[in-house]
Amino acid sequence: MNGLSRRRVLRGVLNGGAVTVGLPLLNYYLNGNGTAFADGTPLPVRFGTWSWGLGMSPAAFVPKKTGKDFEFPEEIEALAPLRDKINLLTNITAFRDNSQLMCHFTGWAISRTGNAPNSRNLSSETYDIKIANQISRSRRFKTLTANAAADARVSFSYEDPNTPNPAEYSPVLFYSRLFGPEFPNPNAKEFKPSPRAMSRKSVLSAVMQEMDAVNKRVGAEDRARLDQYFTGLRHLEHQFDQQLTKPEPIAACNPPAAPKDSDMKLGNESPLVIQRHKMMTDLLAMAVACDQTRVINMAYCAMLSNTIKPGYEKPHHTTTHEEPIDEKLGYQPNCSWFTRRCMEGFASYVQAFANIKEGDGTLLDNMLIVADTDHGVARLHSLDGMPVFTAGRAGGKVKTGLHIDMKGTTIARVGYTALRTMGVDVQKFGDRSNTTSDLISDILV
Amino acid sequence: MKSKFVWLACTVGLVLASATAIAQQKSETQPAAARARLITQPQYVNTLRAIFGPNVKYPSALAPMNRVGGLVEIGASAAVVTGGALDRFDNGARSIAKDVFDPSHREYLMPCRPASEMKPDDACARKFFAQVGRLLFRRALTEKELKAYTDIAHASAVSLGDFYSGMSATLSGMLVAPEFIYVAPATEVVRGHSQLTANAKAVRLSMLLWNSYPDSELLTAAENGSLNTDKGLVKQVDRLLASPRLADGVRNFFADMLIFESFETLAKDAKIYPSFTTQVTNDSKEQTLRTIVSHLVDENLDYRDIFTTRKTFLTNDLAAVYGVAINDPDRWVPYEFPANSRRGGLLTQISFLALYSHPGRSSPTRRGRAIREIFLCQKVPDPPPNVDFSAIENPDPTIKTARARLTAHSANPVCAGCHKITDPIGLALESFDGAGSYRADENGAVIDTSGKLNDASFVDATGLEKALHDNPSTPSCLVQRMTSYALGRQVGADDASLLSDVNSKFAASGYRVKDLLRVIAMDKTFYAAPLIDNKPTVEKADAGTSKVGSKS
Amino acid sequence: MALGVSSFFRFLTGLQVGTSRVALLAALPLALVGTPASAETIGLVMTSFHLAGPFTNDGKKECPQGLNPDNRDNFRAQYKTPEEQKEILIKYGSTQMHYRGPNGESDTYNPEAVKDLLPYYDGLGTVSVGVNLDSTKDGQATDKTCKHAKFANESGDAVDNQLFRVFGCVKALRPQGLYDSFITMEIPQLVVNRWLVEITGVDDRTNDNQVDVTIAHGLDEIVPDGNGGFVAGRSQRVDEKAASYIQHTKGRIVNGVLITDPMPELRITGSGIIEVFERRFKDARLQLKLTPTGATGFVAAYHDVQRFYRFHAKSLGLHGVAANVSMPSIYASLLRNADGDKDPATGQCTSISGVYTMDFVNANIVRQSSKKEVAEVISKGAATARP
Repeated sequence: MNGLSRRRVLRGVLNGGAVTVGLPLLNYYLNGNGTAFADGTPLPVRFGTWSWGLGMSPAAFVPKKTGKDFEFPEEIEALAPLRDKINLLTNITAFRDNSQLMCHFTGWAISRTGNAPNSRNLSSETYDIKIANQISRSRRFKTLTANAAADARVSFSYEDPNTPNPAEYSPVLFYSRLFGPEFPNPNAKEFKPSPRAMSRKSVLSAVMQEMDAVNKRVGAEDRARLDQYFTGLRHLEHQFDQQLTKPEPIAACNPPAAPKDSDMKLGNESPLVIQRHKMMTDLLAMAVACDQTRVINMAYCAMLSNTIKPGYEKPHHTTTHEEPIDEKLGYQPNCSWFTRRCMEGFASYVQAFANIKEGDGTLLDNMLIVADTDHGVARLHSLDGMPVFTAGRAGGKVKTGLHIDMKGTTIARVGYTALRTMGVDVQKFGDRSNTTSDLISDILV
Repeated sequence: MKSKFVWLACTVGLVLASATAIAQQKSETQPAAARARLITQPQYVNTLRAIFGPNVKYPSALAPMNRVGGLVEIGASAAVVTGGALDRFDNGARSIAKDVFDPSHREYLMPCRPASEMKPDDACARKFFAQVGRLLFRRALTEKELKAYTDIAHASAVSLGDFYSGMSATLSGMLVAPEFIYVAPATEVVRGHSQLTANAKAVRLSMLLWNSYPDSELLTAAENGSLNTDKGLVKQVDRLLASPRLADGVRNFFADMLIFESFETLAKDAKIYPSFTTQVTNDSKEQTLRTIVSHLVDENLDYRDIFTTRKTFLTNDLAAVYGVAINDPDRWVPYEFPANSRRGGLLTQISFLALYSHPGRSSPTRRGRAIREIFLCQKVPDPPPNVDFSAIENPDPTIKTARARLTAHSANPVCAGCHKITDPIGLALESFDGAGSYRADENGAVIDTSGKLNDASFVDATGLEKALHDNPSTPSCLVQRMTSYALGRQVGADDASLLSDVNSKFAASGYRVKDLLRVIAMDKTFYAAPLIDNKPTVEKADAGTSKVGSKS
Repeated sequence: MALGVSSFFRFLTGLQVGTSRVALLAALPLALVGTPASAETIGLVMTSFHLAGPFTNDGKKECPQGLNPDNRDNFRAQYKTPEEQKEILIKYGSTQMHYRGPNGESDTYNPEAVKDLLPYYDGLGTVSVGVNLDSTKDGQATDKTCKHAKFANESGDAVDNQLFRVFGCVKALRPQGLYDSFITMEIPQLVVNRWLVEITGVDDRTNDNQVDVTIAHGLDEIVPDGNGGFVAGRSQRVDEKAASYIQHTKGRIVNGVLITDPMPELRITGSGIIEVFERRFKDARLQLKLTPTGATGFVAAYHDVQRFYRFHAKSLGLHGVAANVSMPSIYASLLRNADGDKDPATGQCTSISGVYTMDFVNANIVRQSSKKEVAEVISKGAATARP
């Protein structure tokens, strides 16, 4: 919904007349198929990530069949109803090469940057940010990052090598950030530009003038840091501009009621995590539906997951290490219990976007979601045999319903494919053994 | 072959802990690179509370920063304000600015009254911005800045039809200004040497001692040049050390060193530890910080004694977990465990015991690792991947204690190397369960709490605490951390002579932390500044630029 | 009397996660260095209080004819037509239906003036916890007591609990009924409900033929734990200003159950639907089974009928409609079922037996008067308020 083209559409329909009353809903302006605007501008494709900790138990997770008609073993049973909306990629490797090995860090770091880190800092920003810089700069929020772990530090989206985007962890606070008094409700009947926003904008301009003085006092490295901050200030300024412009109506935008403080229970007990995950997911989905952002990140738990199964003494992570394999089942039953809760979470995440109508299809049809984890086999904390899911058809660019054996190739292929699908023009992604320019063509149309 | 490698890495890593760390750091950091620091959450609150008082509401959650070299404070020198982080600054700024000009606060926070509340009043606005701007930006505002802010307040008051709304909008902008949220020290050349400007010196000093930007008096000392004299510096260091605000600084340093942000996410399984309520979580953190501040600031006692002191502070919720009675259940009360108590010192406080445990049980490995890393500045490597832990997890019900489990674990040579380092000290704390409560047995079996820290043997937690107290690495680790904290960077090989000097002065003082702070605050290295891009950032000639602002 | 090393360890073993025995850990190690150990002290604070009796979930067994009508039902029985009803309500200027006496007397404060026309059913049943208060096997009348049906406890001993007869079929007083729920809610909320029991001189927690028991009013909150219960081991101050509520008796521990000697009159404050009152238990006995984290048991005693009626009238009667009670019927039932303190002149018993079940959690009971002792081990520095 590029601002210019929308305005052009409006002018076309209303013949340049003044906009004074509630506008008809967005779908009115779509073409006959609901896949594009009336003038042929396609619906925007949005990008999302989802992550869970501690991989899986192969015996209960990896389908035997590949291709279209694969089965859903017990650990991913929850995803069976979404068969035609997702892809499962298995047997992926995160190559560490000669970098230091940091459990629960190296794996996802390679997934999100293509690069095995040597310290607790990454080598670059994560690829969701590259995508956001491409497709979401014009939005009220460039990206939104949330988790169900009740911890602002659980974030796998890094704006630069050592700065995670702080995650929203409280439904109450997240709601007020998204849909509080500052929310420019696109479907509001009346629009009055706020004089307060105007004065705040002029304050901000004055503040930005000071940048030069500070820049003079720092070295090149710090200047790069300050530059990011400056970019943020400009984005803030842009938010004020948006507050001063009447937003275009959006049919699917229908924010839920505000959650209450009583809904905000901290704690890592599984039922609480599930409840929080649902609330955060619904808010994220509505933020996308209202076009407040086009890039989102969600984490079900920390990679070193400390989710608790009530009454069981070990949290998720400890269980992966210490629970014996059940001879009959061929895997660790409690460990698998935790992974199943994660998979149910992913299913509900995907479903949340599939529930929102957009044009003839759903919001999910116009999204690409990538779900990844830190390790392959939970018990071994391996960096091979890793699974990744994708969901959504990216506006028709991606095929779904497939299980692909990635034959041990690098996880950077997922990031590379996502970058290219979302229109980021890169020739390769990753370094050393993870260097790739090999698209996962099996899932591309 | 792989396992042998890991074992070696682990042992060597530890034995040569400081050497390795320093060698590694040398390549990463230049010793005196004065990097711009982003204001941390506590600095933000401490600074604004000093300006606007305790009745204004301050935000509780700015974006978290990464921990570098054991300290968030060092992370602040690398932290970037992302879009999300800026959002939080912005929300905080607006809520504070609104509150400051709320009718209930502006009466005493404004230095003047506007001629009309519905119209601009440039003289009054100017007075406020000059006074507050100087404290926010740590220097007098330039005439240009002052005019700009006054003009915006003027225009906003006109468009909003309200003087205070215009003030509030303007202040909210100042609170996200780079000059406020970043500390980028200015340098100047004096007699051919690059050094921090007097204002930048004042900032360093107050950040170290108060964890806040300077107050007006300290800025005045910088502005009138007295801070650049030995006598003037001594006077200010003495004043800051004697101030009640020293407690904020010491409290923040230890909360940082002890990784207390982990409390935000500490959770215990309610089915296993029903008494470990949220109140216990909050109080246990506060107990440790109160103990430290009382011991090191109020009483000015030997740092090493925080590992053995039986004096602490309790609430009713904590007393319930400790199994003791307190006489005033409504308040924090000073409390001393009896001489033959099993409790005494930081390691046997609930904060340490519960933080370094699992949600449903204790963890000698986590506890042992935390002692090594936090208090002795040693690095214990992460567990290696691709280890089949379940092969050594014996479901045999005859294994009842953590020691027995870990002994089985250590049969695997891949694991043995590191567990040898963590477990013998961690096991000494096994008399305390995952919530920090005392227990005499584990699953009916007697708990063996004996162990060794280097050459010091002990039979229980009290012995471990004594061994930590006597370990020469204990005070030198504090010196290393405190120096890094002060400089905002990891200290490296180039700082060896500084560290050695500070170490010996700290020892000579009887390990008084106030003296340690004084030694650092009086050391020239603390104020040393490199050339940025081969130039000083403020030429001496600029120092005379006309400045406007209150000098009181 | 001395606490041997083995019992010392047994005691420590008894310490559960997150709880504490009241004997201070501080005091215990002294026992190991040769001085005679002081006996253990067990401190308890009450966390729940319910009328005892053979209640079933649906009430069909103890109330085969259904639950009792309330004052609204009786009002309609008394004034049959809407016109009549309207006239009475207008006459006494009330939307409530309390003014049912011949001269508009309140059914709550003047129950003798009102005769409920609808039948009232007493609770049926034969099993209850409790104590044999009148010492008879069959409940026959004696010089001091009136004839009544006995209950049998778990062991088959005859016990008295006439309050169950009165309230067994009154919805509000049955488990989870309005009155019962209010009490459950108010116990943690209102400090007036803080009931402390301190057992001292305990040499053996399982069997000890003499212990001292102190009952007092406490001053501090009880705090919910993460598991639906209350945090054990918190400190509780004795309300020393309320000296008349500090009461002593002796007792013994039999198979882990504390059994107190009878107390002529046990007084304790409490609340019901926000009304605060003083409960007076005559000839009271406590029986509490000691658990690792607290105790569970009951108090059996006689209650003065007039006094008992008065405070229930205030809290129950005023909420008559919502509480599903009709006070004249209750008053009549109290007199009909009264079984103690027979008035020699009239032959009417003036008090009624009753049993309330209670739960307790462990508490460290402290007294301000002992502050000086503790102060010696307190480091210097003033106590400061919780931030």
